[in-house]
Amino acid sequence: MFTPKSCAWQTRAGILHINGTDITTPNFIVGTARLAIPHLTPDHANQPPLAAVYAEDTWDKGGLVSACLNRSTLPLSSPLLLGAVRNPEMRPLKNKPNTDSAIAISTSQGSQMASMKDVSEFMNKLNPDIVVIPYDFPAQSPNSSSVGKNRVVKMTSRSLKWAKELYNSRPKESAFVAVTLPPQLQTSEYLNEVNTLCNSYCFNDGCETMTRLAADSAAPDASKLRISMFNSGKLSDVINDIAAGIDLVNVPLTQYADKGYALTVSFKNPGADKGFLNLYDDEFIADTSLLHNSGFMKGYIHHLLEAREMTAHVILQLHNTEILKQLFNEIQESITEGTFSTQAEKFKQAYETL
Amino acid sequence: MALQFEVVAKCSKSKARAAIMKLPRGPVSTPVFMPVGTQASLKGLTPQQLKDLGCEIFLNNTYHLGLRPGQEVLDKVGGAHEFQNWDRNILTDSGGFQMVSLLKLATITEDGVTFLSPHDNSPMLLTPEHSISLQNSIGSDIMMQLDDVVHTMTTGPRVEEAMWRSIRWLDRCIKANKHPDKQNLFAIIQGGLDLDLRVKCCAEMAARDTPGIAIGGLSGGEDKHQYCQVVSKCTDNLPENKPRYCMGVGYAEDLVVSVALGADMFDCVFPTRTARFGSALTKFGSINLRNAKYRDDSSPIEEGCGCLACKENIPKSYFHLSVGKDTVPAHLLTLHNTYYQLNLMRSVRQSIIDDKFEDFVNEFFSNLYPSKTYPDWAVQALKGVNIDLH
Ligand SMILES: [Zn+2]
Repeated sequence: MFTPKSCAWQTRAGILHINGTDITTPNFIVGTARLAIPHLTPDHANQPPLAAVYAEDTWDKGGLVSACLNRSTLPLSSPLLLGAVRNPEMRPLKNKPNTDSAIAISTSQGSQMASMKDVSEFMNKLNPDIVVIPYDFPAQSPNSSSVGKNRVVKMTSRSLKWAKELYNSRPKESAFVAVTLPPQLQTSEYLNEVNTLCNSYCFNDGCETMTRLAADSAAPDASKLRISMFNSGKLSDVINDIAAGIDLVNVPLTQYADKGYALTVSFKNPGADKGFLNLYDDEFIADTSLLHNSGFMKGYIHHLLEAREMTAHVILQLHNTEILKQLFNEIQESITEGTFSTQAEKFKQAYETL
Repeated sequence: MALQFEVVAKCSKSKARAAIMKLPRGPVSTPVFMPVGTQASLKGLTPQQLKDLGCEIFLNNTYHLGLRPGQEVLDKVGGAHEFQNWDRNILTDSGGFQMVSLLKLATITEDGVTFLSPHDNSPMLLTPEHSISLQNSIGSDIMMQLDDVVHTMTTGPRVEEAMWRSIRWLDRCIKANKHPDKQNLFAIIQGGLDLDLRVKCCAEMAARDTPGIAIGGLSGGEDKHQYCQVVSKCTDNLPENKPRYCMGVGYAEDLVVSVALGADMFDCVFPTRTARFGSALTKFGSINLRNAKYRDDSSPIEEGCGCLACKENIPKSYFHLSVGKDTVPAHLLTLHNTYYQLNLMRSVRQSIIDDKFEDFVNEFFSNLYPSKTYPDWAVQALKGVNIDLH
């Protein structure tokens, strides 16, 4: 169940009840690679609030690798959001177009076709808390605006067919079913149909679409959960999404650890520094001060990065998870206190580079 | 001396013994396997995870820490324990072995080991004094003397020369140790495969009364029969009341047989190195999870294993899918393999305390060799200490 504090198309706080836990919103989602959050084994207490798992990661030449799909034996302990593909519009599959019954996916062993039956099996084996239903997108188009009129008709009917099929075969416990609303599918015909199937919406370009929908009298039900999955990865865009009224936003957590960054961002007091420490920098060689609550000296993490020891990324991933949790707590507080928009401006100015 | 060694039980048949080795940062139950964290970290594990596995002591390599972060930083942060947030025991090697094995151009003189700096190829000299100075800066609870390492298969006068030089270098190391009250310096027995030299070396080293003694110059590709002969000869000639450390030994069979021959401490990079290539150690031998047969296997790595991956029933299929591509399966396999090694030694120890070591050895070998065609070296070595494999 999702209880928003406001039903308008604007910044809002809320509470998401899933799987016996309450997740306050706005909050963040972290993408997995092959069923695990990079660097984090499930025994670490500090896990992201939600993890996104993708069907395309669990395919090989022989098809769906179903023996590893069991909710209770995943190397993951966060609540799950599940999608068929990371981004339906970012696939180099010119010679393998979608069909009425299957979506083309990129796997570690090349392009494959995943039938809706396969996707349904994946979904039912993992029994996620939120399902994002895939939509049809023509592989040839370099950008979304160039989808021809006839193709939009096919895209609409095919996406609806997939949505109905997956909705009908969804695991009973799945609390949330989200359909994505790319610009081509924002027609009243499509919205009316999916409105009965889904209880949440997923946006490709959170901010833009939401602003458009807010001005549209035929806008879909604004009390539903809103998810943004494909933002640019910049923290300023994450803030823009939240400003537009997104409840759950995808955050590129892992890229920070992989670059050797320890985040220092704050929503309450932005701008004390540039928002991160690059622990690769030689200035940290003999730095004996501890990195926040990590328990580790900055000089040690610098050493591990230089020595190419994987423990560096584990420590940074844990630290950055904590900082992002803190950031979203502060965002939630500022929404409650009515200071969000002024703080958001300060935040974006302070952390331009992030 | 900052080490107390209390034997708590002895096997009534073999030379195996269970003991408690009290060190500055807590007790260590022996026989013990010590994982190797070469650069002050164990391949993706946090110190807390290592503790949760029950690890009481692990290794850092002096050569690597001397290069990075370097002695100056180690002095500034107050040593390797503070540096890596590890409050249990650390053992360091002398750095000599790493130089001889990693740097082809190392040459050995009475002064020490001369090698070309990996930074700028300038000639550098590692002396016994320098090695101890580095280990003092690291602050390890057990330090190893610099020894004159010759390849295991070397024969002739060079072996004896290296043995006597190692004895002289021990004296220099003892003299150089700034913290004998908190850092325990271990001697290393040399002498190659020549049993007479080994006996002589044992007597010389024992006379110097170091807190513990290592058996060096082995696990370099020698015949396993010869390995067992040397270990057994050394344990016969070493004092009862000191820990005996077999350096670089880590295969499960070698551990079990060496314990039977009277050794107490072991270390090896193998369990963590092999994890990164997808190999999991089990009581039935090692399995490689990249093998196609595990694609559709939904069972855990080893039923009944107490590691995180097996307790959570994470399937072999997951490892097959992700190993070599992601870090999480590597971390999980490192946890599993380290747990396997530590748990093997805990089981060995308990069986000695219960005086059921012979039964344990038999069960261990029959799991590993279901057809019961055991390797001859193990059969012979165990027979030599009154244990029959049947
Ligand atoms: Zn295990």
